[in-house]
This record gives sequence, C-alpha cells and structure tokens, in this order.
Amino acid sequence: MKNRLRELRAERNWTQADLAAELEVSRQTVNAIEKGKFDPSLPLAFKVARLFGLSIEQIFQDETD
Amino acid sequence: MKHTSVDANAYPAQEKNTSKYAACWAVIWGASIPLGIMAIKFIPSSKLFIGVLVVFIHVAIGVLAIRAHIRWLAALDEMQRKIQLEAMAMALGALWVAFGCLLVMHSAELIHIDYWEIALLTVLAGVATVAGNLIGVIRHR
Repeated sequence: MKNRLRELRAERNWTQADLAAELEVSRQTVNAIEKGKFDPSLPLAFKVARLFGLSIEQIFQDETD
Repeated sequence: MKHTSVDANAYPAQEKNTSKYAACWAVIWGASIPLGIMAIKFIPSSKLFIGVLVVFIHVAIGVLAIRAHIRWLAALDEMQRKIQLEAMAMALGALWVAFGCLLVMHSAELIHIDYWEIALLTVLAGVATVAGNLIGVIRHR
C-alpha cells in the first residue's frame, strides 16, 4: 500500500518522532509505514487521517488501483 | 506548525516500563526453577513439603510473569506487537521441534535426557525469541 505520509509530514516540518508522538506509536512504526513496509490498522489509519484533516483515501492508496 | 500537546516520550517511556517489568518477572520465573531444585536438594526437610511449596511458588510467579507479558504486549504499538508475536511464535515452534526431537531420540535410546537438558529448552526459547525479534526489526526497517 502506497501512502503520502512522508510528504504530509514534510509539509508540516515534523520529524518522524513528532509524528510518532502524535499517533502514540514508535518512531520505527512511522518509518515502516512511510516506507510501505507496514500497513497500519484501520483505527491507526483513521487517526492519521484525522491528524492531517484528510480522508483515508487521500493518504493511503491501494497499489492495485 | 508543530503540535506540542503531546508528550514525545510518553510511548517510549510506557514501553520501557512495561518491558522492564516483564523482563524482571521472566528472570524471577526462570530463577525459581534452579533455586527450587537446590532447595529440594539441600533443605533438610520433607522432600514432599518442599516440592509442593516450590511448585506453588513457581506457578504463582508464572501467573504474575504471564500477566506482566500481557501488559507489555498491550503497551506496544501495533507494529511492535506484530514483531513480538511473530518472535513468540518462532520460540514456541522451536520449543515444540526441539522437545519432539529430544523425546524421539530418548525413546530410540540415542541420547539420555536429564532435567538440566530440559531446562536448556528455556534458553532455546530465549534465543529463538531474540532471533525472531531481529528478523522482525530487519524486515520492517
């Protein structure tokens, strides 16, 4: 699954640690999501979407699309 | 724009605390086996009484260690939890395979198993857990 997490984080000048703190996860988890190595659960995806004020589809894209 | 409403160290601190707690209970649990065996050997009292007491203490510590590990898993975020659960699955699989092999070889009289070799299975579980962790961390890096 592709995502725009790195781009959205960079727009806000946040570090991975800042984003991790906002999402209450580890920095390693943010890094793995950004690199597409780990797909977040639906509750975490909703949390990300709420944080950036976007819909889940605007942040995460299924690679089969 | 930077959000300042959250404590950046909240998650790592919570994880560290529950990890320490779980590790302490695991060490106490592991130590209770050799200490219990030594108590049975060296305390000049009824072996039955000491044996039952040691089993009771071992089970009680075990229950507390399991609770500590459940709390630790609950405190992890979803990716860390996935890594740990996969590492635990590896440890369980390694234990079953090793135990099965030992039993078969013992039955075939190729080896003789005594309780110290059985105790080494806990070391194998530890090594398999560490290996599982490393694999998980590398895979998600």
